[in-house]
Amino acid sequence: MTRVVVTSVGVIGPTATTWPGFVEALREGRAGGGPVTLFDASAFPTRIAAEVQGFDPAAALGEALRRCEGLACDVAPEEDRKTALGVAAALQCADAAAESAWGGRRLGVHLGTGLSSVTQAEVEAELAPWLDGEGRFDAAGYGAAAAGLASSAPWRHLTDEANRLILAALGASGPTTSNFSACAASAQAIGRAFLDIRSGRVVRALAGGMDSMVHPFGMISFMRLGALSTRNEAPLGASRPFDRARDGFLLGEGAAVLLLEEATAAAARGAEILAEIVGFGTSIDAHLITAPHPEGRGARLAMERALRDAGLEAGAIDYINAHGTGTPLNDSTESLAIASLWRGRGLEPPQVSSTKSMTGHLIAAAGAIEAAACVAALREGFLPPSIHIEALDPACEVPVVEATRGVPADVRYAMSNSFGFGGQNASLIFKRWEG
Amino acid sequence: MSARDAVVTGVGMVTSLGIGLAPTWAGLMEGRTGCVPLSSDEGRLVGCAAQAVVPGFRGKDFVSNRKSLKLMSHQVQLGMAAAALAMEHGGLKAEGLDPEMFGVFVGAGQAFADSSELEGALAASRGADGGFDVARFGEAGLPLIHPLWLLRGLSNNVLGFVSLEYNAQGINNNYCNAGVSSAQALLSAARAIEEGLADVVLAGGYDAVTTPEGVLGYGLLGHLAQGSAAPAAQAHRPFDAGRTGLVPAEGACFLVLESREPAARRGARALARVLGGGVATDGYHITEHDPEGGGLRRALQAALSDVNASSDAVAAVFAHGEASPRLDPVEARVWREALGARASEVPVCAEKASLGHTVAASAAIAAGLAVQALDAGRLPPVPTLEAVDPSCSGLRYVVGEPAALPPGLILTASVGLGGQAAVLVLGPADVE
Repeated sequence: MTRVVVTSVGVIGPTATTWPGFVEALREGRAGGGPVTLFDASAFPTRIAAEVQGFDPAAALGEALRRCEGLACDVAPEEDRKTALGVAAALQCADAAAESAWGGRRLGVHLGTGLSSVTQAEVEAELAPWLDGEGRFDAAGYGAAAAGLASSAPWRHLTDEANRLILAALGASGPTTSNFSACAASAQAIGRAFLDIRSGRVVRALAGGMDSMVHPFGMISFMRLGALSTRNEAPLGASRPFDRARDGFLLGEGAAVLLLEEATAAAARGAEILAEIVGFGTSIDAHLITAPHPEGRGARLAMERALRDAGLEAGAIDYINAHGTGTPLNDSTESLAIASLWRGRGLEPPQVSSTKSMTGHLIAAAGAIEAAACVAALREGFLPPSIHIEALDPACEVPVVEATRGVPADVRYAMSNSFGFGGQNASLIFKRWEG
Repeated sequence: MSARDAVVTGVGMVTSLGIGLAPTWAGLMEGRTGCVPLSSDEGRLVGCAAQAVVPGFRGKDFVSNRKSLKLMSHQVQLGMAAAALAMEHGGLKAEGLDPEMFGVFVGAGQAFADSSELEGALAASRGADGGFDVARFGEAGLPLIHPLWLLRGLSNNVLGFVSLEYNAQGINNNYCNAGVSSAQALLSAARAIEEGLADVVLAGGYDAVTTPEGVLGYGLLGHLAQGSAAPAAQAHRPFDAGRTGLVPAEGACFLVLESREPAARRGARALARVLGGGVATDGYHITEHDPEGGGLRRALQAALSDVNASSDAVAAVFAHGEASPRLDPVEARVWREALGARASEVPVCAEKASLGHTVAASAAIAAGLAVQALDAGRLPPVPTLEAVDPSCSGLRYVVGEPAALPPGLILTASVGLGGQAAVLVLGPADVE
């Protein structure tokens, strides 16, 4: 049986921009979040977000382009922010591994991604001049002006641009997928890479995801859905999954990328093994595009499928990193799904926490940064806390890790849940590396 | 043969040659094309005068839930139609299926939220200097945006709505990889069936690159057929000396893939089998192609090794055929070298000559046509191929009349932006 292991992690997130920093923040229960600085949100009903601090997209892309070595990649420096985040996390992950990890051309790259990240400057410079009095966009006028720009300008926001740039920067040419499954996207990407390696088709793959919806159109669309917390006066306590007073999620941004390898190949190059991936399951709610199934039917099915895929009984799971967005509906239906799966088998559910209480909701990148959190929990032996809980919602009948810091524990198996708009659900199961 | 082989029991497509597999196939066999004149400002700007759109399409013919229909963009409706036609063609009723073993894999077009739906909000967001004022956008613009605007723009909408329509709750994924998107979907679907993770899968893709954004984007990259070179109907000319680029198109195609044994049990006729495939990348440039065709070459090798076959088993090729001055000779060389001594014998089709380039849908359409070719034993001609470019010579393109399909496997090729490539392997339903 081919085994799949994690040998390197790159994280560019709201709580830290390195893997060791991320682990430390997770252990200390440190939250990201503050007033929006990426654009002027002062007139928006929600004016807070968990931004990545001190990130320079142009520098990150410049570094990737430098590595493309003579390949004429005319990427505009004002590239899509989520692309820059994804490229930076992937290179961080690759750099942390020895070059032996990605040398050879069959390295795969699988990333979950979201909608375009549009900057305020871009809207002002490139959209606004081509609007008439009724707000109609003059595409031909825009095109006439864009013809004078770099030919890649209209391609800036393509979903798979980060994949192509990472492959070119690493000189790799393996299979690549760009997964668009809303908030389940990067869990799907990691699952896809896991299946590719387990089936023997590739030996190594970078897998994870990236997103940044912290821009005027991104934030406003979540606000219209009523999904964002409006605790503008207390951004650091705005993300409170499982709390009775939760009022929506804190929008986060960032990227995380894992290096997955076939276990014997990792051992052969002397790689340090951080954790193992043992199961992956997906499902669809087939209920509504706009809301989860009231009993968490799809969520439960994804978890069951992941357990079956791993050949595990439910009782083996020590920790669940919940999707736990902090919207009233998600946390109660997810709790219901967990409770019914475990209690239906006469078992008490495992410890559950939402690390979104610290990172905010990274949307398409959520599954990736939460996979990283599971790797940290297994390797370092602690349960990541669910912070900001003042009064646990009685509708969430699961054992929640109510704590302000990581709780030392013997964690052998960790499950990570990711559920997306449109009803796509994905669960991954990670195992402590025991050789 | 194995009980868990992935067999195709239904094909549904909407293309510029018609709504359904039958009209599309009939048009192809008669050597017609669905390319028509394009007369937009965007087209003029980039010098392209042809497009391929689905004639007489009405989304409401294919979606039972009228409320859902309002949430679907035009291209999502194309995808829904193809899925409905595939279910019908396969004689499949959602009621009889185990929802948990019914999966959906989709190759989707780029996720562009429809900017025209922001018009009111943007008009209300003008500042004193006439420019965009983000503060006014937050105050006056926000209430004018449809609450579900975000959801309407998501590129996993076809997956979500298809699962709702047919109560498919099983394994799934949504790929957004330009021209290889739906090849990824079909390959994942076939593997899910072989690995016992699903009994039935709807797999395919949809796209519309005939939008202003699509025409501008491809046009500015210099990828579109140029207006004066040929009449619109003849504008997409793969491997022809007079080719000038691709014709932007819209379309969708879904296949019903089933596990052989349960399909036989319900009395379904297996039309063909999806044996496997391979995907790879150039790793060369982010929008241009490797002049050595590295990605396609590696995808082809991976595909043949995936099915344990040599190129001797190849009966016919559905080429990518982008009609690109630069890419076509590279593709022709990859096929010449792969087929070796048989290069001048193996028939090569290029369906984009008739249908234009539907990008994220194109691999599924090619696979659907390959299924029909395997079932009918015939191959459609390339109607726009008049004078083979010397750099593309040495292959047996199907021209003039339809050709007979020799026994063996069909390969379908897809190449996307930046040298992403995929090759699928299909064969007769009873192939070993």
